[in-house]
Amino acid sequence: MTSRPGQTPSLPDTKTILLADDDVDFAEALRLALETAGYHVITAHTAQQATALLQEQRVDLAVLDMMMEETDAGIILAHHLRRQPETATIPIILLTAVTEATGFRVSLDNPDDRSWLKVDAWADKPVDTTRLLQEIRRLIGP
Amino acid sequence: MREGCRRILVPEGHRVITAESGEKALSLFVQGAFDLALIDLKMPGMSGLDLLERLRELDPGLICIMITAYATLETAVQSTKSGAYDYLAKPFTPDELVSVVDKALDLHWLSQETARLREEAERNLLLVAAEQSRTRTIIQSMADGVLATNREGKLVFYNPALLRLLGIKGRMPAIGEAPSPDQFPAELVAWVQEAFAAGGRTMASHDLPGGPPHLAANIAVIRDEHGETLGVVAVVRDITALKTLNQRMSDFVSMVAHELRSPLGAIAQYLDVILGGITQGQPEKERHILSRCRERTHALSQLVRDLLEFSRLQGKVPGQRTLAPLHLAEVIQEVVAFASQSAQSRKVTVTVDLPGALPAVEADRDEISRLFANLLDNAIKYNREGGEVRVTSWVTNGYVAAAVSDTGLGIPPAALPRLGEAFFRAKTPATAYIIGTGLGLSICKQIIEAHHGHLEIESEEGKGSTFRVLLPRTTTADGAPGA
Repeated sequence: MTSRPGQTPSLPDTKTILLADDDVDFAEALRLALETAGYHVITAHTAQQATALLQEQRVDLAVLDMMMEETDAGIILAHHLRRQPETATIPIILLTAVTEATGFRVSLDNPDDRSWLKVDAWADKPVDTTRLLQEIRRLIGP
Repeated sequence: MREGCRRILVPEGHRVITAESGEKALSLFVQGAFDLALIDLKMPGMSGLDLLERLRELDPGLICIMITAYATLETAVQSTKSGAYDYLAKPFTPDELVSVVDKALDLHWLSQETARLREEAERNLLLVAAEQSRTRTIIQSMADGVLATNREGKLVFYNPALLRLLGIKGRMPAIGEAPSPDQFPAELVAWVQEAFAAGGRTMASHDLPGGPPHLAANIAVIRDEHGETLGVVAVVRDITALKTLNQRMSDFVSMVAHELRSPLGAIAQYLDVILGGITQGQPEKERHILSRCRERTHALSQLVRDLLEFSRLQGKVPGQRTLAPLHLAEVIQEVVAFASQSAQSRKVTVTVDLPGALPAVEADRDEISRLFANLLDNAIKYNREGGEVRVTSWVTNGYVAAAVSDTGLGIPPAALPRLGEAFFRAKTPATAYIIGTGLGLSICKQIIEAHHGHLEIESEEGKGSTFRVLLPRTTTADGAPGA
């Protein structure tokens, strides 16, 4: 059963997605799309806020923008999540423009580099919502 | 005797002048140029030996042959020691005479040639030495490092700049030995060896790894006129400044691309939402989304405008500004009037407190206008609803000062040092929805710097901020208060 955007989910098996992106409008648009698809979405605009939210709530999947208050903030956050046992198993989707991986000199075209990043999926902005939802369903179900 | 000799020598092509005594010979000698003298040892008056000595004094290069009778053979031998070239014993045949004369003249010619060639060689050596000295001075004073190796790959020379750039200290590299990988970067040694071995290409350019300083090396093969390799020369340059500049430019382009991508991404994503029917039946939601799209579009055009302004300021040569005496009060009033609509929509009050007679500043009117427009824009944008903006001006210490204060959100202390960095925006939850290009303050700073002014910023989070601009007052009559 889908929940309408803005409503608290009433079903216990509604999955929660953490969405972190520094662009408030982009985050809002994506939130609407994900909630319409039946997920509960919590939003953060900085890596710091995201970390705080993760400490308070259980999250089933994280969608992180690569560049937030600092370049590669999303990558660094993903790395930290993988390191803590509590969050190590949360699937992560990284939103990015491939050319922006400057800080770590990572090329997302390179399979070796991608495996080091330890994220589960990438989506290039602007995001194809249908494909993103497919990925999310693949990772955590509806 | 004299006539006899003349008759023998003239047909041989020699020019012969005779003298019957030593004195006569001397007086004839100084009047002409002679290569050879035939002197009879036994003469009345001045003896042959005396004449020999006198002639030799006058011309050490003169060849003298002594003619002697057997009885004076020892004297003849002695005369050779006095500088005579040879002697001829009487009686002698015509052939003997000719032979001795010819031999002596050949020798004379040879020794003159030798002297001439030696002089020439010395002159050439001096020229080469001077040229070498000049070249060496040039190479020694060059800022670029130079080294050369010979056919065997051994160092032939290097200059102080090379040691400095490569950080070679302590033991100086030995001339005559191959450049050692202990002292020289292994890559440089390898390239020099490669160039020598390859022989084909005459010049190659490489970037040395590591640094700063970042170095580049140009390697060239030296050849002789037959194309044989004589050695290799390498010139090492410091390209750190160039690299830094390229990196900065590349970073700036990346930043611009990101700044452009954000609004486009947001608008695209919002449009997806509407077109995907997600907001079906929610007109307020749709209005909100479309309104945000419009604001982001507006921000995009502002960004383009600011980028052009930024670029224009960067590229401006000091002479291109139109500086004229300018009264800040005028410009500020204009800017405030222009911003009144934006102030009204946010319910922000703008008060202006400008004393009547303030000195002028020497400035570009358009740029100063832009400066205050940016400051005022920020003061209104980052203000609370119903807040206030105050603009004041005064004179201090040779400067005309103007301050724009707001009762706005304030700036977090951590962000203060970064204000004015291109695209930096102090992001706090309160400012999340405020749209700015991130270039406004950068542009302000550039304008202020170009006018030799100062910018002071004070801020308290939750209370507000004050931006103070100080510009040097003019000292001309035009700038007198009230003028």
